[in-house]
Amino acid sequence: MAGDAALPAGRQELVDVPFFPQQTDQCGPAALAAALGAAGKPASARALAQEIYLPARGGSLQIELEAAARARGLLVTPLAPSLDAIVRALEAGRPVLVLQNLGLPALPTWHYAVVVGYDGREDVLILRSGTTPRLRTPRERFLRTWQWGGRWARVITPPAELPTMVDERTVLRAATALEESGQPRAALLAFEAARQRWPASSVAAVGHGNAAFALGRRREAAQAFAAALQHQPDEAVAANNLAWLLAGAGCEPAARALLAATRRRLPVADPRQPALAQTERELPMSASVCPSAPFGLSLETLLPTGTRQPAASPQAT
Amino acid sequence: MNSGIGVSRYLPLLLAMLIACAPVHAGMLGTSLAIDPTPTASLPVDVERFLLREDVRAQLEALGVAPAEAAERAARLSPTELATLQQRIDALPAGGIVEVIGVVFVVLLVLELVGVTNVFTGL
Repeated sequence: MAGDAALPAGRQELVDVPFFPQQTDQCGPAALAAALGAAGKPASARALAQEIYLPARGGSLQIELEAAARARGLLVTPLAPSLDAIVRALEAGRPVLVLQNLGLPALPTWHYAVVVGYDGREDVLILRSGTTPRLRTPRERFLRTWQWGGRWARVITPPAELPTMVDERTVLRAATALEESGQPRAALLAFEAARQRWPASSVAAVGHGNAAFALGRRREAAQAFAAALQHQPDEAVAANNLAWLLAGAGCEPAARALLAATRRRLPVADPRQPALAQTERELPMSASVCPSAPFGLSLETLLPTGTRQPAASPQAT
Repeated sequence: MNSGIGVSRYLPLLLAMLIACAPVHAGMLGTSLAIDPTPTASLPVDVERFLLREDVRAQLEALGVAPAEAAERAARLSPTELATLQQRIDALPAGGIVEVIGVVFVVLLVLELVGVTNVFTGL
């Protein structure tokens, strides 16, 4: 496979990644403890076993390893399935959590380990694995066991430190997983960092808005949704959520105009149409009077003439 | 008094369900829909999500996890992860390396000696 052909000529080893010797069938907790320690959230393998070990299966599931890292407010990012991606992560100072199949495809023996380095001269990878703190595994052997383990590789970082070797969509998905598992603070940090790295990303702004909303910061949320709409005028989630906030602030006509304008832009069969229609029907009522600049936003900019529905606009008639 | 025990046991569950079903954030859409606007990407509504989490909690318990821990572990999974576990928990790899026994041991040992597998050297 492309990207697996060779290791770089030099060597790289993250010597500070902690090591937790594995006890019997506890390689999941041991590997995760090493990765968490490297991300600045130390946890003992013993405590982690309570969170991720499945007694009847004699092991731990990938999903639960990720969830345990997220529960500590950390960002869990998948790597592209190539040795190159692992090398770039190591060069950026990030250890890589991997799943290996040390048996055969038909007779699997699943094992978690942490790749902490490579040595190009000897063509080996260096792993924290089982009871061995520095297991030197030949590249070919590593690739075979990793291939048979589905080439699963994860980097765990503090949420504001986005892995550099990963693309925008992958990072945004990882941040969304924080949002969806009750970690709005960590999600906010990750989405803020994503907006800095990809200033034109409407999805990063939507994520920022949703995380801010989950933390009760409505003004910040509304401004993030408005920024998303500036980048991408038919960003339906931003329009929907901003409309919801506007209606709650007493600006129902503006909310309706925004929803209507967005629905006109989207194809009739767009899967987001039903959600927007539902929001249109259920917009919250509010007794408050719509301020001239709700959440510090200019309605004129949000709803430029031409997209505005005359009957719904407060300035019309 | 079986019925009494039953009610008290499930009371926290029922309360949690009432809270989970309250339309606190109705109308707000999640970021996943902005990443992938297909219908499968939309989050299950609160009730479905609650039931999904209940299913996974029961599955974890059936696999030997203590009840209190099973509830916590199910609670921190995303809707996509809950759906995956609900459908495929028995088919997913569980990394751990269990004791290798009997004929499997012999097969693996032979393969290990000829350099195909790494069960004994991979630790």
